[in-house]
Amino acid sequence: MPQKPECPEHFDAEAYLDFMAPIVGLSIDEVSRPEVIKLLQTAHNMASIVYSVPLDDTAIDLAPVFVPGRKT
Amino acid sequence: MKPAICFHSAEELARSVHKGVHNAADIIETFIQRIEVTNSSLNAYTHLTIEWAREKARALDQCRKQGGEPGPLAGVPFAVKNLFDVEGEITLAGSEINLENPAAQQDALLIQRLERAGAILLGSLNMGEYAYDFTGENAHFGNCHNPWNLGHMSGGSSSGSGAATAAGIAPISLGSDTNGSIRVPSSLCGIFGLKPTYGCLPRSGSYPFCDSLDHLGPMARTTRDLALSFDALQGFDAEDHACVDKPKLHTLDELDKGIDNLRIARAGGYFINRDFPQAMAAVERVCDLLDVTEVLDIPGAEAGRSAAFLITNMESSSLHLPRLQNRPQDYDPDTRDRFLAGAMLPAAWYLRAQRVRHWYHQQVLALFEHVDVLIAPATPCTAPRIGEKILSINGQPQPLRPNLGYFTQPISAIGLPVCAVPTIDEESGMPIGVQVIAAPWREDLCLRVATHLESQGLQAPLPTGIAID
Repeated sequence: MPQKPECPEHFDAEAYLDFMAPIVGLSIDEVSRPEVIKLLQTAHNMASIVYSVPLDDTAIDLAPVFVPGRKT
Repeated sequence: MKPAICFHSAEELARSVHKGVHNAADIIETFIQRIEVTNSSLNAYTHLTIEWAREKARALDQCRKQGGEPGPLAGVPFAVKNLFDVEGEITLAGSEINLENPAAQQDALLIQRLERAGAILLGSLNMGEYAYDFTGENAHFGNCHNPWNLGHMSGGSSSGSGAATAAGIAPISLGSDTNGSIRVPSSLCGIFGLKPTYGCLPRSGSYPFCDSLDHLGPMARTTRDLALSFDALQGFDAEDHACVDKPKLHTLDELDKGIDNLRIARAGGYFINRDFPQAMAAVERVCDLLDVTEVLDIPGAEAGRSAAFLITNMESSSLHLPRLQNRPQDYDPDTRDRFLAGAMLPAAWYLRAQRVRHWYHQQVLALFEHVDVLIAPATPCTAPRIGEKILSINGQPQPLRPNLGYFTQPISAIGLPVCAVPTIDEESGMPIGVQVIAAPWREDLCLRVATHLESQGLQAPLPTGIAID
């Protein structure tokens, strides 16, 4: 029985920021921090909607197309 | 020459040059004078190519006098969002950081194509930093003001394109649209704007924002001007890997075919939201003019919009990561924080978003077996005041900046062609646009329906916030 992946409901945006920022080499100052936390929460809300779509569990149909041999 | 000529259509201007009624040089001088008077209050142009324009106009007049064919856009001034390369100038993309870049070696391909058709470049136009914007606000180069009311937003990110074309200082302008950046300023400034199918117009020589979703397109005061410019802009270019090699459409020849044999429906579901009465009234007016009664739900629209949100956030942040790491203080704070958040999101969300985009595309393609054209709002409201931050959606306060694209983002998410058509909100007297949407590669249908609406009175109105003469 295929299972739909879930986007966990709980998302601690502050903890996520503190963990991820150094991993990607970012330093988030106190001016940006509150807004970035809000934006991470917004992105999580968007991800929850994206994960609610019942996709074919056996296919990975990505939108962009890679054309071998094409020079650009 | 009277300044009122600045509100003539591009087609009329070109015809007057062809007939020898006006010289291109005189037209260019008239526009330069109007820009000098008007731009200080609008802040639409960030750079003028005056000497270049004068030289091109003189050459064009000489060519015509010697019996040459000056092209379908002969002597028509145009301007471009400042993310288009202009030879010898730095491509700003609305950013102070880019001031350190070398000047462009050549014009963007779409500029070259308009010039081959006889149009004359007048300069570059203001925009939101790196195109991550729907407001027209810019911390570096100043806000772009709405010609209907200078205290209100022009819309963005093609802010200068919307304001300049509405204000009669660029009969044709070029913009870019990733999630609504042609359609939002078209809506808020009261002009027509065409966002073609994804992969239709090559992006060669333009500064990128989000590769999966970036489109370029024209903005104008009439549908015939949109068609004239779109027909001149089309053509494959291998330099843009998303560009698709398809036969060109001749949309100008299609405009007057009417709407009798077209199946037109109003977009329902996500696109009907009573929190946005101005947008609902605009759509109802358009549907009345088209005798549209059918309402069709767009399956997956909210998921498609969410996918576009994540794809944009993550691709653009990846593009900017080196600068976000080393000099975040040099960004406009409103864009910087969005890039910072996008740079940290998990890859699984991005890949899921690309799969959902593919799925949503399939859903909507099936819908187009039953309908030719869909009508939807372009913006939730008329132009907000500059500085406004909040928009109420479903009773909840939401940030205004990303949500001005609430209705445009689900359409560009899957690359559908759209023409924004202007209407006037009766209560406020401010413009608000409606989207005319067709299946991929059917820009001709968008423009046909837009032309019909124009013939029914939905013409680009003269703005009330600036002097016309």
